Amino acid sequence: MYIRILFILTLAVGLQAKINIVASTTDLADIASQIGGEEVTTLSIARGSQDPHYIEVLPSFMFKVRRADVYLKVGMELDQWADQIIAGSRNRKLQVIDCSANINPVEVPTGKVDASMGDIHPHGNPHYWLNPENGREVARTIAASLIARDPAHADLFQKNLAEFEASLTTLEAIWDVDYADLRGQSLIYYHNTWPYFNQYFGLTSSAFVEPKPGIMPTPNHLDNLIHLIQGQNISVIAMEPYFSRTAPEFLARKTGVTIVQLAQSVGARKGVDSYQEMLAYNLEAIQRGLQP
Amino acid sequence: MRIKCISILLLIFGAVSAQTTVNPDISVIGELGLSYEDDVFGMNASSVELAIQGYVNPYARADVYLHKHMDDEPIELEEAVLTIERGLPLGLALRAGKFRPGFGKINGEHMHLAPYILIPEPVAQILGEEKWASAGLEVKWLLPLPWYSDLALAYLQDGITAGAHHYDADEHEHVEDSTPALSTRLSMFFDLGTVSHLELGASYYQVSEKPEQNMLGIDLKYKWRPDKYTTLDWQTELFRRSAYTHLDEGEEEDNPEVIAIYSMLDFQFKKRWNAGFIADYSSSLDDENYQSNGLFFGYSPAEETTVFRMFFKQENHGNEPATLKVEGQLLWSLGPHKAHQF
Repeated sequence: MYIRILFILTLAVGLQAKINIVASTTDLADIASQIGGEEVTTLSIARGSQDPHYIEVLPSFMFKVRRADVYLKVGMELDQWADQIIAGSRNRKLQVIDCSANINPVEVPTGKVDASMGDIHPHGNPHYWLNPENGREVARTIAASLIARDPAHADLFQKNLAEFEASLTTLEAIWDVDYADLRGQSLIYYHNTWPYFNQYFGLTSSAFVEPKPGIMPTPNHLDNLIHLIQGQNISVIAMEPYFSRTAPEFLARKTGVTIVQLAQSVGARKGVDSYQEMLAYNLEAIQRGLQP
Repeated sequence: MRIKCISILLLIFGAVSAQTTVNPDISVIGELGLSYEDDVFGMNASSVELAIQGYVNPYARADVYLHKHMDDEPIELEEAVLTIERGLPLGLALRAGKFRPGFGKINGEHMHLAPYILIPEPVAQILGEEKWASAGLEVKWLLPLPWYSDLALAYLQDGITAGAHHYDADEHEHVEDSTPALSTRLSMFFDLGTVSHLELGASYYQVSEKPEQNMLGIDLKYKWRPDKYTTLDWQTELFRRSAYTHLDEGEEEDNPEVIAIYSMLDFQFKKRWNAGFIADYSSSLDDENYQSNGLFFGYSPAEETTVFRMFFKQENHGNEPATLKVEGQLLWSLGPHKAHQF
């Protein structure tokens, strides 16, 4: 009888020992899941199909964070809504980790920043997870916090981190060969989500469908884009699935440009269920779009 | 002892210098109103709201809202409140200062977020034209239930004064009543799948001093948001005010029970466009029933920083002929724009 009670208590303590992680986005949740393995539970506030800039602060999110041990923020002011969720959770013991802490940001504005520049982020472009090097940095940041929180499983977290980095290294070697033709290619993106992706895979952005970040396209801007597409022989407009297709389809009708839907996050497209799959999906989609 | 004094001084000066290096968020919401009623067209209700918000320490946040109408009235302090959300045990939170207590859903909402321009008349009858704000203290508790359920209990210095007044025999004038009040609200939130959400609320308000009154409110809000550009909002509330007595030059008169209800449906059908319908009803407005129906639409050319709104409202007072009001509104916001809570 006593042995049974002891077994149940041990099991209960064992279950409680799992670190409950809530992340702002599916990308952070997936990386945390890969690093934490069986020792963590993860969930994401934003769905992969949602624009992470604009998430409505639901009380049910606060309820989920109330029971969490760790909250993973994207940071760089992308997920400012997370602050309201964290505060509303009334969780005094919650550890909040800014996953952008060790990222080298790009497009940090110099001089005065104001709303005339659109929805600009004063600490730099926040879509850093789209560069696999930064995916590694995020994984290291998460691993360090998990080890500090649960040193008993440090070896497991270290092993999982090594496997995560190795999986990226293996994929990078394949991508270097399979997508070598993408280097130097120029695209039009809907929103300025992709500078880190471009940086790593050698692509460039000729222009954006949005005249300024977060601002809907105007007729004059679309007219300029038509001239740009025709003048520079640009063949692809790449967009996130949550944006309206109206403007890209108008440009496609006028110029014959191909519209490609990318996965800016895990779960944004069907079959994109992990961080590695998200990067692979985007490379494949762009390559397919560029083919004549 | 000396070391202790030096430490305390260092802490104080450290805190002061830290305060001076961190600026709060400052934002401004401007409004220009247009109206048409009884063949008269005019610009009205233009106002500016200034919000100053930020953390005062790791546990407490301060929010100050100042409001100025474009008239001779002085600047009005709408809210100045200190909120402790993550510093207390057992899922408790605390608000202290001047704030909008949790009585009904609509009372806590700022009007610039409402897609209809005018506060529903029955609600104004119950809560006042500017709704209810008072100095006081509010404790909130996240109940240990398997779904989000928040219980708020507040003690307010000034109860709801809308329509509550008494005759001051010495001064020979009607004076607005201002008596301490207790207010409580239970709100529960449910996810109905990933894109549908429901919030149910129940509120109770009690003033024990004369003139006595108590009020009951129930509210419902449903939202369906299948994608970034489509949202359906349905919000409805019912208030019942009873046991209200006011004195008039020595006479004592019982006001009948007042029932007020409104229901609003708002549909965002494109990124920039929304349209909707609101209907309201009050069982007693100057001893006559009141009912109105309104249609509204809005256009946001750039995010939510600039909004144009139009509101067409038909009002019926008792047996009088129906009247038509048309209101227009231009809203703009400057500064940090926080995510909207459900």
